[in-house]
Amino acid sequence: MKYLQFILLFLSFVCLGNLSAQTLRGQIRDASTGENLIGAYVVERTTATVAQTDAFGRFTLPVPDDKLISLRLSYLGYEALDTLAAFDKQPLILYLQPDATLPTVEVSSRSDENGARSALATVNVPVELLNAMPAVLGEADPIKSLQLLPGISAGVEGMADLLIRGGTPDQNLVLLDGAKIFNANHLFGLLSPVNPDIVKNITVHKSAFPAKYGRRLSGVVEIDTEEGNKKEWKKSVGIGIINTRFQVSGPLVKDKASVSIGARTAHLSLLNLIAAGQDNGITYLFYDFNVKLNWLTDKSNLSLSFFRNYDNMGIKDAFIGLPVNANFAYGNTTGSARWAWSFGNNLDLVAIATGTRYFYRAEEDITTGSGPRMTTNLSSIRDLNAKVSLTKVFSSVLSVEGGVEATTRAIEPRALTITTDESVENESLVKEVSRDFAGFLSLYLRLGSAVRVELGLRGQYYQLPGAAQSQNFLEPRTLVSYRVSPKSTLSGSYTFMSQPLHMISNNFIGIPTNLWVTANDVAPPATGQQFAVGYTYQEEASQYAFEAYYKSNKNIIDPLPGVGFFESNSSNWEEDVSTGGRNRIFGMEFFHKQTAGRFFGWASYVLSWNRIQYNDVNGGRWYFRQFDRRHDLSLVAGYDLNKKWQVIGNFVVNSGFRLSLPDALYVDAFTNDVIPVVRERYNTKTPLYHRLDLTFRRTVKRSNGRSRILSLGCYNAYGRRNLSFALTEEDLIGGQRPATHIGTVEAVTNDVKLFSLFTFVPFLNYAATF
Amino acid sequence: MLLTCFTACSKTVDLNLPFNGPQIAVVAHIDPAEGVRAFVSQTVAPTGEYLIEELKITNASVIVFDEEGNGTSVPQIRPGFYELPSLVVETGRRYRIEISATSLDTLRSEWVRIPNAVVEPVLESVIMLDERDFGFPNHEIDLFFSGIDPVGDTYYLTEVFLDRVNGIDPGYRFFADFDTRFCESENYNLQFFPDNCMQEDTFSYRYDPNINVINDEGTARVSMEEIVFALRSIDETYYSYLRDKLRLDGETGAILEARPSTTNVTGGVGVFLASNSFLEVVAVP
Repeated sequence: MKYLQFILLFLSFVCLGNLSAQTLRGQIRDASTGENLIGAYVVERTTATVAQTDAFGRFTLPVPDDKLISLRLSYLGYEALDTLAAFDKQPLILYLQPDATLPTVEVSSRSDENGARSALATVNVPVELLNAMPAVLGEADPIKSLQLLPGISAGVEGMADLLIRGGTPDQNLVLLDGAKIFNANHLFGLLSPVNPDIVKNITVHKSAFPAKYGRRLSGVVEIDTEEGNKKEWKKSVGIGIINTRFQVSGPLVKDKASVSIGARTAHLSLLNLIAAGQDNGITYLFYDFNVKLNWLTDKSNLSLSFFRNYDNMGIKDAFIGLPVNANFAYGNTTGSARWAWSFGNNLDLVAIATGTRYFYRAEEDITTGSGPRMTTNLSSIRDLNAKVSLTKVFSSVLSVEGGVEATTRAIEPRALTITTDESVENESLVKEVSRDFAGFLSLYLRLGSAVRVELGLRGQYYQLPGAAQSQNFLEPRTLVSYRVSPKSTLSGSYTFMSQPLHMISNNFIGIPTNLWVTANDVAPPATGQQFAVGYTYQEEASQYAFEAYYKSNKNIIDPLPGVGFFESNSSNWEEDVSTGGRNRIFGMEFFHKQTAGRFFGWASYVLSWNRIQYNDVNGGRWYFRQFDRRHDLSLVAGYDLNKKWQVIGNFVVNSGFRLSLPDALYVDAFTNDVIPVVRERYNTKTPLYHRLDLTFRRTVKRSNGRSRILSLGCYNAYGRRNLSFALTEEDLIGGQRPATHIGTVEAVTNDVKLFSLFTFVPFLNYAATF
Repeated sequence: MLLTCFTACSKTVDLNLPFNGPQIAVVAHIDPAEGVRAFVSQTVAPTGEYLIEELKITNASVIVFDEEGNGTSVPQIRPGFYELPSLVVETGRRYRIEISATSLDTLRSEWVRIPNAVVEPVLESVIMLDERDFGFPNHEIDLFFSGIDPVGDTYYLTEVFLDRVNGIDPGYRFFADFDTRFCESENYNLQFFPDNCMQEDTFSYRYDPNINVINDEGTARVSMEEIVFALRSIDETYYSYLRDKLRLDGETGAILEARPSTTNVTGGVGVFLASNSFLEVVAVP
């Protein structure tokens, strides 16, 4: 009965709200290209009501019953616009002009958000600035640049993996135009897989996850690519040390339909030509390719997107006089169709269908005295996903988003085939087929002028491989924010997430020997809760933000110490992992960004503890994870020397990461072995990591949209030898190893070699749009 | 490839790895066919250079206890090596070892149980001289074992050796490359682990080690009169210890995280390994 009373009271409240206002709907577009702008803010200035555009540039905003509405529009990288708009029941089309200035941090647009969310829960940085940040070999990489933001860190130096609030890369839902990407990298992790020229918007959710997202524990990374210029044809090219890229974009039907095509390939591919006639050598090829089509009508918006990234390394060698050819390839192919439809009456529909195929293949072809023998190792994932959601704005107080999502997935963890002249033999891990179904509902409430509440619930059902195993999770999501003053906001959130996939990672670099497997009864779906409390203070030119979080995850898996994919011969991956891991992460993030005339920059500091416990590791005691970083400080600063030249630098310093190294040695004289004694996992910590990167950029932007950008700079300017990994290197003097029963070893030596991947790395990069 | 690329950027640094002083280190075997043997030395810090001769413990007291509590002292036959081939060791019984030495903590092993013997193994061998030119001549031997217990009940180890070192010039190397289709990576030179590979219910497998005794230049071969093949059933500690060594020796071991070493002793480091062996002496034509 109490529930009924509550519902009636609630509906009355909502209906009253509905009577008190009208609803303005519209789209915000780029004035120069006609593209929709994702995540732009619209503020009704008299009530300070805020709306944000969705993935199709659409917004719905409750406004007063006035004929003229006072609006402020803002978007990262665009000039803010104050305008008066006549109320119309038809959707309003509004245009924002790209900011002609050099890339910089944005402060003002955050204030328009009116403190709905902590500035650290959801991150949205101008892609142009992310592309301008100095990077390894100067290759613009907006995804890797996210590692400079609080709570997002790298694993091994130089790698594109994102570790969000102590999570592992597999705990991130990486969506490219809505389609999932697995093992998102090129060049074994040195580059992220997406052509920077075609990236339009990146949003990272670190906490307070909306209910429409699920199936990952730590983060959601949404990457949206350009829809294409609806006004005129534009072309751009970029040449760097590693690759060359281009993009073509233009209208198929002016102001209605557009296409964007982008591609990128490595200069290393030239090695293929050089090595073609050689007996020995290494070749490397990578490319990525994007096509996106977009149709706009008054009531609908349809996008079709295709993406493929591919890496291939070949090795020609000889072993004791026998020719050996090895080949290693991996990549993603994704496709997505997104359709938005406005029914009118403040009811909108979004439908997304996506498909992803990820694979990697390792081949070894060796010819012996008994004939040729080819060994092929293949791993693949096929993922099909469909999601439909409806959004209804009932009033200035309440809007509701609800929907359903379904996924079917087939993972073939490993299929080994050995082919000789005489036979073909197969040895495969069982193909894992699983299905997910979810329903989600989010209520967005605005209570008075100071309080905003987001209440979400996601019902998640997993149908997992095995004996008809099914798992259900009810995942509540809550965000409450309170506007303490016009400049400051307090917020708190709670989220529960689950994850039906595990990645058996080698914890070393992001090479795709990381094995994706489906949860089962031995390694059930991982679950995680996150509590976060944040405070944001904002002025016209500066912002201060703080967020503290506590994460508690269960059913985590890790490979057993020393078990690697290549070494594992067991037919069941479950035998190679520790299961039932409990992971607790506590952290505090501090963030300050500032603009002052020609200067801009930010400072980010994270203090965190990241512990894990397995019954079969370190005697069941809690221990710190490999990338537990107690302190992590990033300073980013830019200065406009004049209207064309800009210098941007970043300084990073953080605690080292953890290694498992021996603490003693002994000798087995029966077999002449030196046996390292390793008592604890991650018993050693590497020294402090720090580096300074600098880039000088010359940007020439013309009024006709053409631009030229020249970047030159250096990564790790003072050549700090930061440590990436360690090897122990035993040596025997006076004897042989492997064992013989002849001769006696006279002495042993042992060194711990620590490897530094990148010291001083200069770069030069040129990009042009015409 | 990555390691090759990265090596150019490497440097050796002192991480000040902690070392809690020397302890007794032991590698000891107990087997009904061979009695007990142990190599006793002391641990050293994880970095640096050490003379083996200085690590051997020559004044240790090595005692093997059976489950009735009877202790038998094991004598030293050469520096650091303690052996008692005549010790009566019975299948199914439990034993432990205790080692003490001046100024070091006493090392005590866990109890180990002697595994069941290999059941009626049948070994057929065909030995021929291989004249193919790989830089040195090979003895190629086909061996066929059958009648072994089902996989999983017991771990097995096959091993080949030249009746210890007798009669061979120390300047020569002896090695056997067991080559099987799926299990090449499981070779540890003179040892081979069928448990890693064989999925059938009963072991019945053929392997063809290329056996060589050559000089360091690989140009001369020593005449062999007989080779000893051992088929051992081993306990789990023994198996884990051998797997550890395999990993250390493998190419991929270099890029993998170190794992805690297999041990079943306290007060020191090392292993006390139990096996039950079937030995076959094969004459070389």
